[in-house]
Amino acid sequence: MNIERIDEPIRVLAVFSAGRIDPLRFRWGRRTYKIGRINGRWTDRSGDPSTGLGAGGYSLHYSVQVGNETYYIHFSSAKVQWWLDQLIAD
Amino acid sequence: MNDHDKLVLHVDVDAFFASVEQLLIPLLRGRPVIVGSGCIASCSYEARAHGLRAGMSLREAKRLCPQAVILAGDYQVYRCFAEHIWQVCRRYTCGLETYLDEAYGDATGIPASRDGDAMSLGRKLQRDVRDEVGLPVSVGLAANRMLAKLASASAKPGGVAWIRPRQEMDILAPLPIEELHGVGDKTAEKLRDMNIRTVGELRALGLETLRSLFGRCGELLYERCRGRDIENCPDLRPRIPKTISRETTFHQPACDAEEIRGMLFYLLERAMRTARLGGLAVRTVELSIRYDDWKDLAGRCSLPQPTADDRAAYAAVLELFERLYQRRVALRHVGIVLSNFSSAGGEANLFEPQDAARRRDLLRSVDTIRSRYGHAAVVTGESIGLLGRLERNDYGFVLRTPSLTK
Repeated sequence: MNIERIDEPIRVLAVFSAGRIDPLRFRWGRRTYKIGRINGRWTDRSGDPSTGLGAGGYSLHYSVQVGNETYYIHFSSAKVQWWLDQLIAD
Repeated sequence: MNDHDKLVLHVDVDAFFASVEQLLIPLLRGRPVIVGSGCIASCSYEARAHGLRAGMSLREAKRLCPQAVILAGDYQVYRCFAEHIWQVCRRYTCGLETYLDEAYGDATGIPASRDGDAMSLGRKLQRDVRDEVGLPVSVGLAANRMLAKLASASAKPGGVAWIRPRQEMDILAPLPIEELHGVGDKTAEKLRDMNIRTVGELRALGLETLRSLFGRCGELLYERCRGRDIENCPDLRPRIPKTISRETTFHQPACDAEEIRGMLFYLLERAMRTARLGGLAVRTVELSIRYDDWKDLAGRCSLPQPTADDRAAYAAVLELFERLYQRRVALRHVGIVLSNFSSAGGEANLFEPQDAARRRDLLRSVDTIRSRYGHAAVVTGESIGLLGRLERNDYGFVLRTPSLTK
């Protein structure tokens, strides 16, 4: 299993409904990735270290499946930006 | 309300860290997975089938199960999942006491337990956690904490068990004595020497006999083998803990004095802050260290008087550290345990030295700032030695293996 750290901003199309945000697809570089499944999600309310402590905010994290590859993406409320964190593949 | 009317719930997340990793990474499902560094912090049930257990060294784990996938883990992620699980559990309890991967709750009179029986409440909770969080939990229900925990242990993995009122004696009788809360290795050895191996056999000893053998613990054993958990707090209000501990493994084995002392101070001030929040002063400080070659050493000292001041307790920690750390080998792990608590007393003493009063006010101010803005809002003392070495978030420095108070 290979885990590759990415840490790059991405553009995401998501559905906001019933108190949840579900990403549907994201664009990284020149390619658009259609999300087949959300494996799991978690909310981190501890604040984003890169914005400075006490800046507050939260981040919504997702593990999403695109074919055989797993991507970790997150939305930072402090930066109002989606990020691609890492890619996991066999 | 007597004990038989109460309903205490125990929720235990099955193979917590490993289950989170298997949820988030489908490649790992059905495979033996280990989370840990140096030793196993958590392993999947597929790994347990190969004899792997929490606490086992990774070297031994790799020998037993070479195909296991080993992950260092991300404790901040696990904390977020735990918070979500407890949020779900609070719908089914009026009061929840949470630990790292388990929680106790009072479910007495909860509508879900009135509409159906306790089993339906347990199953509903389990289903909600699975649907909303995606993780498996085992649920135990009984009239007190001790029995609820026994019930959840018997239902693992992924089950629900209810020890019904007036069934306690029959359920407990065949259990090995080691499974009874409060029976440690020494007590078990003593009882086995007397040919007592099960809880049912333990009941044959009277209260006076148990008292003479084990003192106060004997009284507790007498009650517990009859299904009565006399140290239970019915309303789950915070109790005075026996110990407050903080420990961590360094990201890399550490030999830099500034880093080690910084970590010791940081762990101590976190533990002391917890003590102060509980209105407690500490009398005994214990330090444990693990060298990079896995040699463990520990020491303990009692302070001249109880203290809620980091500085006084840290002086004791440093003294222990000077005594223990004698080899030119890097450290892999350090831990601090506070114990022997007494009430700190809230108000100023008219005859208190001015310096002590100023220190107390300073600590109170720092605690207030941290409660509002997060622990990391203020970096004090030798914790400054960790700046630039460790990442921080609002909780504080991001440690490799944070441990929570039990």
